[in-house]
Amino acid sequence: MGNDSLIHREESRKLRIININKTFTGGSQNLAALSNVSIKINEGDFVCILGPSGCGKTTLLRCIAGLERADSGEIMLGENPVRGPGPDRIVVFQDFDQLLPWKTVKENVAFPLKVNKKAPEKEIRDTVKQNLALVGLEEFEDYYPHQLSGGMKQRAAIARALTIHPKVLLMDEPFASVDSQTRTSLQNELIKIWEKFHPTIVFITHNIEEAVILGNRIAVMSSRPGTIKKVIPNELPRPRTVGSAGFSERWNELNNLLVSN
Amino acid sequence: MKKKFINRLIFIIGLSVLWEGTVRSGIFPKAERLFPSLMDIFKALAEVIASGELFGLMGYSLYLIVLGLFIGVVLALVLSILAISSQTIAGFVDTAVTIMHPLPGIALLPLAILWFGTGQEPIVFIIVHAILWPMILNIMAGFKAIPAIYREVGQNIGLSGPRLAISIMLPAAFPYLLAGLKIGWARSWRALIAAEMIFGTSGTQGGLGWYIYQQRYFINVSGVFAALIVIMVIGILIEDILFGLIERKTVKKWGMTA
Repeated sequence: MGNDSLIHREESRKLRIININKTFTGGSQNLAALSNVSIKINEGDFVCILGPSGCGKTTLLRCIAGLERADSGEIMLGENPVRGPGPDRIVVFQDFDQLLPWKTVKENVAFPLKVNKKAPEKEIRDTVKQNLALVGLEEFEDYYPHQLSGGMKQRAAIARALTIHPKVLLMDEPFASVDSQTRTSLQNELIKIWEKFHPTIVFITHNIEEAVILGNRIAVMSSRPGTIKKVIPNELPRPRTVGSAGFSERWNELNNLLVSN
Repeated sequence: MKKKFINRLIFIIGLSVLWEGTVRSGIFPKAERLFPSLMDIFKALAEVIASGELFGLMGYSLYLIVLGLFIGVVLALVLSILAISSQTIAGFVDTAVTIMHPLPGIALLPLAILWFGTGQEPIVFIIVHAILWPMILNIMAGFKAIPAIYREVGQNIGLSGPRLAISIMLPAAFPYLLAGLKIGWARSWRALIAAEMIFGTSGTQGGLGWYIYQQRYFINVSGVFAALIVIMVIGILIEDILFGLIERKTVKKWGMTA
């Protein structure tokens, strides 16, 4: 499956968010969630979108996923405008409950492939095995979601997202609700996956440290209405830790951008 | 499970002792006729079992209820799925449930007889009525209670319309579906016995309710009690064994509770 995702790398898979606006109308007041947000994301890029809570970063991600519709502007994946949800843009949510409780881990991971009839039964089984091994869940394939810890659930969700080789992996603070030790190992695993397959990743976070550790580029958002303040390249050598050279400078730079809201 | 079993056993033994004590105390005159001893009841039970009559009675009652439940569940599913896909239909279904749900099935019996004559059809009609409305209420409540994230996960991987309903909505609402089925079963079991007592036979066939009615006619009180015991035992078996099994194989295994 490694070859697969490498062979299919094409310029046409570029993700372009062009001038989108989104206002939620509810009750007596309107809430401007996104205002003139534009960003281009190359294929294979790993972009972190960093912003305070309530800045509209999740809304942006949901617009890319097609789960939310922008009021104006356009989102293009390659040549195609995004019109609704689809398996070329798979979301990994923050919520642990994103696994379907009536399916085992194995069945959850196989589900996108089964739904899209992408492969014969045996191939599906192999892909599922490989992906579960990738996230270290091979021994838990017959468990039901309620028997897993939060971190394991998120691992399974990542394995599920990878099975149909989405063009874009949309991650909505997937590690925000796990303990910090688990978070570190999940981050490392995600980097390994990215280095191996180079999927395009859009990763939402409010955690500066996480953004610096993960992203190739970091887009800083301001809140109400959500706009992209600045996109900074983040080319610190990997693996990155809090103690790496240049880490604290980058942290400060981002922190200043966030506080100057 | 084991503790539940022991509790039940203690209760049944206690009740039997109380029963037998009452019979033997002679409080009731003509006790052997109207208030038979346990021995007489079990003799009647043994007779109806030995003659093979019981299996015919049980078979007939269970056949009617399975038929009625099947029709009722399918109708409830169809109406509920239509109702979640259209506001207009949702309005109709909601109104129908509001009007029909509080109406006892027995009140519909005269109408059912006029429409369908006597025989199986009016009984099945009453059973369907007993299960349909609570089932719709539960399925609708289940659909409404589905966390948005399940639907979004389904849409995200490319599901929509009926495929989304079948692959995501139905299993996600399953705990509610099962609760509806339990309520529906209990209500329709009662409705069945009651309906049978009023016009229980079609030709030579009759069910447990009909048997009770017949035995009363012959003033065979032991026979009445024997049939009541069979009805209770079937109720307990379905509730505890069948539904318990379904729960263990589904919602309990999945960690889902309604």
